[in-house]
Amino acid sequence: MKNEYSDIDNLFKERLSDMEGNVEPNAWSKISDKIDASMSVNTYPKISAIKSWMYYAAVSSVIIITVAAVWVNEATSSKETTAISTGNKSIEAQENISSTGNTLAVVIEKEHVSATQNPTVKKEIKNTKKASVVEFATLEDRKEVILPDGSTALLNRNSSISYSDSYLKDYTIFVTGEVFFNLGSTSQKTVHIITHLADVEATESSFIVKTNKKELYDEIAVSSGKVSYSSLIENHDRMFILAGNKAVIGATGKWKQEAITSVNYNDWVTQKIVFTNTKLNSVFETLEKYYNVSLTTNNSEILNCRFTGTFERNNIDEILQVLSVSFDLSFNQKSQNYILSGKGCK
Amino acid sequence: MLDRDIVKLCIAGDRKAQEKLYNFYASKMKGVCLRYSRSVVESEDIFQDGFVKVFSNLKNYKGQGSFDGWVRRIMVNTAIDTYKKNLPFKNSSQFDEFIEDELNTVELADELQEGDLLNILSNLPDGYRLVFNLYAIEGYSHKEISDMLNISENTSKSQLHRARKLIQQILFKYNGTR
Repeated sequence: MKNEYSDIDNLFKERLSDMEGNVEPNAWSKISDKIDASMSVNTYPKISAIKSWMYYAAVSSVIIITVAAVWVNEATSSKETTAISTGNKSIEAQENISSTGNTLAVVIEKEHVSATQNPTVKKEIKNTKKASVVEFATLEDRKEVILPDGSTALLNRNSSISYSDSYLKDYTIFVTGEVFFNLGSTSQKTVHIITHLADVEATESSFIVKTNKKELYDEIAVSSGKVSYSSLIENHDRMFILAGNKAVIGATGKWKQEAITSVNYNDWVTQKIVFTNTKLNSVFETLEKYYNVSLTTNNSEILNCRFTGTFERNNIDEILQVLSVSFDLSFNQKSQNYILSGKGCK
Repeated sequence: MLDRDIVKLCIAGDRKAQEKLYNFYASKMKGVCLRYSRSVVESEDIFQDGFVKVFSNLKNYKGQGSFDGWVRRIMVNTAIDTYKKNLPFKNSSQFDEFIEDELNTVELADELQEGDLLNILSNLPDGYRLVFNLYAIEGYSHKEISDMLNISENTSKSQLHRARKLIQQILFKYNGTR
């Protein structure tokens, strides 16, 4: 029974078990910085003999200061009013801690972005033998990539595509995240797009491929032309999706097709958001996804209001201003969080 | 080969020795990290974290077994830690039932290259990729994998089966396009 697969196992084992990877030139300096950071905690007891008297001197002075501080404390706490005022102070202190906690989180996120210098990373892995793979990945931005045959792929946030340098022979692209493909004006070849669950084939067409590794499903939404797919998990005939329809493919190999109902399914591609008598409830959902922000209200009746309008290439502040004027609202911003207040609608 | 004293020097905090050890293993370990990662970007994080762990745990290396194997195991464990918490089959019995069904045989294309195989691996769901790496490439048993990933042996078997099936399908598509 097991022999059926030994070919696959052996193929990967032979080719990959001793494969070497391309190391980033500045990786060592980053690693040695991290080692320094972790060592500075550990080396404390390892103070050399010569310096040890300084260490003891330092410790004893700490003790002296502590004693003095306790004494001062006792002296002050004998006053009647301090009990209340220290109570207030401790609350203030807590507030301070929580607010610095927030900013810290933001700083770390920012560092994460700046650590990669350019948020869109193009990498080439040169492997030991012949192959090389081109990978494009985005973090917090969107990015258009021109494929070797002149077609384009637009990457949404946190997405990646890769293809081998023999792309013009095999026309095969691997995708994670959400990518809009616009194929065909320059080439008549069939392009193969492989996600973790499906194999998508397309010529002259435009469509979005969205993979979701956590919940294990794929979605293919076609804007123009005709796209076909088959599940990689179950054997079935190729299914076709016509423009205006989408297919969802699950991890068990099950799939379903339906018409695209949301006009904003490709808003990040067209940079145009359309609302027609839409409840603010779902207006906010669309905006949160588009701008990667969080929108909350202090009054749930605001969510009942209905809005009609189109936004093109606006930023989130401009949009919220329009909504504020329409429904007599005001809004406050704390980094990525917006809080809207007002009377709302019945 | 690395000489034996280098480990002692590294433990003592000798930066030159540490860099030498790093240079000796860097490209090999990068290869390991790439196999376990979704993307090149994620492999870089695993690579750096793995090396920091190698140096901070060096004093615990008892000299049993090969040093290569010890370094590699730390890299593998770092990769496992990165993906383990998100595995979708955690705490679910859905995947525990193990059915091995029939498969069509596929001719393996000789011209498949490392980059192609790596691409296939990186696009597998996390659970499939971990189990396939550990079983097929590293050579761990299902019992060992079930301990490492904290899953049942049957889950390990079914993940491996699904991984192989998925790989086979992708290889089939590759053959069709060449």
